[in-house]
Amino acid sequence: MPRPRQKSKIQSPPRAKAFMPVGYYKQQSDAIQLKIEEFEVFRLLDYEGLTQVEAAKIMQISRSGVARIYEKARFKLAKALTEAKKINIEGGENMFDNNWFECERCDSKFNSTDESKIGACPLCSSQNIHQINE
Amino acid sequence: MIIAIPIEKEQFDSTISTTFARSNYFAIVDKSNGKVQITENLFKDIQKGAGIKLFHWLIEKQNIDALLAFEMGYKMQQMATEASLQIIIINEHSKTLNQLLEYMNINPKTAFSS
Ligand SMILES: [Zn+2]
Repeated sequence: MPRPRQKSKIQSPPRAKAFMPVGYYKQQSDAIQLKIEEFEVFRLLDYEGLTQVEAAKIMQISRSGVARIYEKARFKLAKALTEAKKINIEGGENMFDNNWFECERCDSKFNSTDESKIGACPLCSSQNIHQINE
Repeated sequence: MIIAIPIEKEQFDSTISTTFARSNYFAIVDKSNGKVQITENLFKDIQKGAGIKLFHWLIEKQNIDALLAFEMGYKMQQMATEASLQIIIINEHSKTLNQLLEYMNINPKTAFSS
C-alpha cells in the first residue's frame, strides 16, 4: 500500500487547463495528465528559479517529495513534447494557498480575503463568478 | 478599495507589467472615488529585497488593500495573503490600464489626481 502523502500547497491555480500540440493531426488517444503539484514544482524551480529546499518550504512537503515530483513533471513534459501529446493540468494531492475565484466576465482570478464573503468580481463587479476547486 | 496596478509606462494606455515587483510604474486606483495616481516604482532597481520594500511602501504610504498582477512572485503573494489583501490575477497582460479602468467603471478623463 502506498504511504499517505502530504498535500502540496499550491500558490495559485495554473493559468491554462491544458496545452495542445499544433501541426499534429492524428487523433489524440491519450493525453499526459500533469498533476497540479507537478506543474507547481516545475514552475517554482524552473520559472521562479528557487532551490528544492525553498520550494519544499512553500509547498509544505519534504525536500525529497519535491525532488520526486520534479522528476515526474520533467519526464511527463519531455514525453508530451516529444510525442506531441496534449497536456492536461489537473488533479493530484494538493490544496490552494487561498480560496480562489474566477470571473466569467473579465477572466480574472482573485482570492477571498477572510473578512468578507465574495459576491462579485473585485475588478468588474460581475456576479458571474465561480470558485476554483483543485 | 485601493488597488495597485503595475504598468509599463507613465500613461493611461500603458499595458500591464508582466512582473509585479520590477514594474516601472504603478497606478494606484481608488475605486471608491474613481481617482487614479501614477507613480514611479522607486524600488525596481534594488538588487535584494525590492519586493519587501515595495510591499511596505504600497501598504503604508499608498494604503492599498488590493494588488493586481499578471504574474506574482511567491514572496509577494505570501506577504499579500498574510496581510489579508485582495489579490487579482488578470488573464492577459496585453490589457491596458484604460481597459481595466473601464472594467471598474472609472472614466480616465476625470481620474487624474495629483
Ligand atoms: Zn470580473
